Amino acid sequence: MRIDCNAFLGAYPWRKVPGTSPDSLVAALERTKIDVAWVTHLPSLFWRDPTEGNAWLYETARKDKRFRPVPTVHPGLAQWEQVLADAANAGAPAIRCDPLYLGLEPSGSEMRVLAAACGAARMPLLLAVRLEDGRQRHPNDHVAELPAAAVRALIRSDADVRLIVTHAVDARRGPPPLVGHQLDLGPARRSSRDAARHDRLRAVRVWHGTAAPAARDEHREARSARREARSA
Amino acid sequence: MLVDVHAHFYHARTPRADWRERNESRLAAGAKIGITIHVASILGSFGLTSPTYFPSPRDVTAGNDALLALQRAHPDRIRGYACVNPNYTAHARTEIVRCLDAGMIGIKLAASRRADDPLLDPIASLALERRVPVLQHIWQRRRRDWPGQEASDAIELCTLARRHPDVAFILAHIGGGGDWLHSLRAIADVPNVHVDLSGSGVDGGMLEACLESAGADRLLWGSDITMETGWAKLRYLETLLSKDEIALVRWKNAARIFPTGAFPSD
Repeated sequence: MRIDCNAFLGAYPWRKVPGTSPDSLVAALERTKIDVAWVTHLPSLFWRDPTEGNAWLYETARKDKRFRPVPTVHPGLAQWEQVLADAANAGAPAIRCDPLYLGLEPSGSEMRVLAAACGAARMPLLLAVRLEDGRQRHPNDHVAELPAAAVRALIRSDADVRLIVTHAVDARRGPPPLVGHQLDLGPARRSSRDAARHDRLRAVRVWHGTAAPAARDEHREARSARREARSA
Repeated sequence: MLVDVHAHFYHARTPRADWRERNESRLAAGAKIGITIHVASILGSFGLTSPTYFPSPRDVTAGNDALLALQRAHPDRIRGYACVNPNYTAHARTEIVRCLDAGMIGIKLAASRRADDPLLDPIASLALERRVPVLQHIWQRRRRDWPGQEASDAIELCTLARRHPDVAFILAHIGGGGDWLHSLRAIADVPNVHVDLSGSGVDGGMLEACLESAGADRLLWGSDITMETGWAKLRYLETLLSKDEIALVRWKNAARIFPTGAFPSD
């Protein structure tokens, strides 16, 4: 089975991006032979209360068996614990929080509490390094990139936390300075070297993610194919 | 048939100690992707002994010599652009003539001078005389100077292209980073500017915008350094274009603007 752990539905606020509807994503999944997509409601990542997009997300995800909802949580807002509980009850494979897009300190107290709660709930926490290539962002899009140090701090803050760091490959600079250098299709494909690195840092592994529709899935697919060919 | 209009190779006087392996791996990856011809350039010493985007005449000549050697070693797979620094006009023109006479098929200009500077006119005139295209390095939206590079982007290239309407210009690596929408707006009504699709950028919507601004008959497939992204864009284009249009992007547009006989199908 091939899982895309980083897909989006809905418009991107900073520029026109085609193919953001559920039907378009389904077509892209079929074209690229991806069985399941973990989907997040993209517009709400930029809202004051990003959880207001979750209801639409749950409803949309119910309509197609290939979609798994990854709702968004804001640990600075009251009753965020309920958002986490709702996600667990809805069978969400992960929950998403992009602290810098919410104006939160990426390894500050809110994020550490959230990381601990996600760890206790056995719910992976998904964070993006960035949502768009920094070379061509809208001039008013000043959101900083998630620092590697913050990721490490979150990993070390709780024994049970499981992070999925997305958008972690930067075409300009090669692999990210985080930990997972492989875009894995599953644990069995990890090399022993990377497994050791992951074990030491306990949590982070970069999964197969397309960031569709913000970045074209063919790119990730091609990269995975190339790596498979190289390791064969 | 697939022509990569934006390729690079290395040589012994570049910063990469593994230059032979990189050249070979490029050809091997190209074979897997299905590239028929790599149209390549070597930018002097790639920064080793003079700046990449402001190469010295000596480095320009050494790089072109290395590329000519590669072209001779792989006549079925490699073609060359004569890379020159337009700030040294006399040397640039002499070098272009030397390299074209030796079998190169185009001219490569880095960012060492504003693209609309009159210093580029003698080079454009030579391109017209020899009927070869000019691949102009472009940062997508570059409105201020950087060390060794003048503020210059698609706007300046289009000014030059309007002065030389019978010369085919190639706007380099639309996916190479920066505001590609800025470039695409600039080139929309300049028919002798073609868009090379290379670069690591694979943003959703970029290829659709290329088609909207330039149309399939002004797009050229290329990969530059990051070959897997070039391949990915080619695969995605296949979902947007008809078979005939894909053939334009893959090679027919290149065959039209490069000299007759430059590619096997000619």
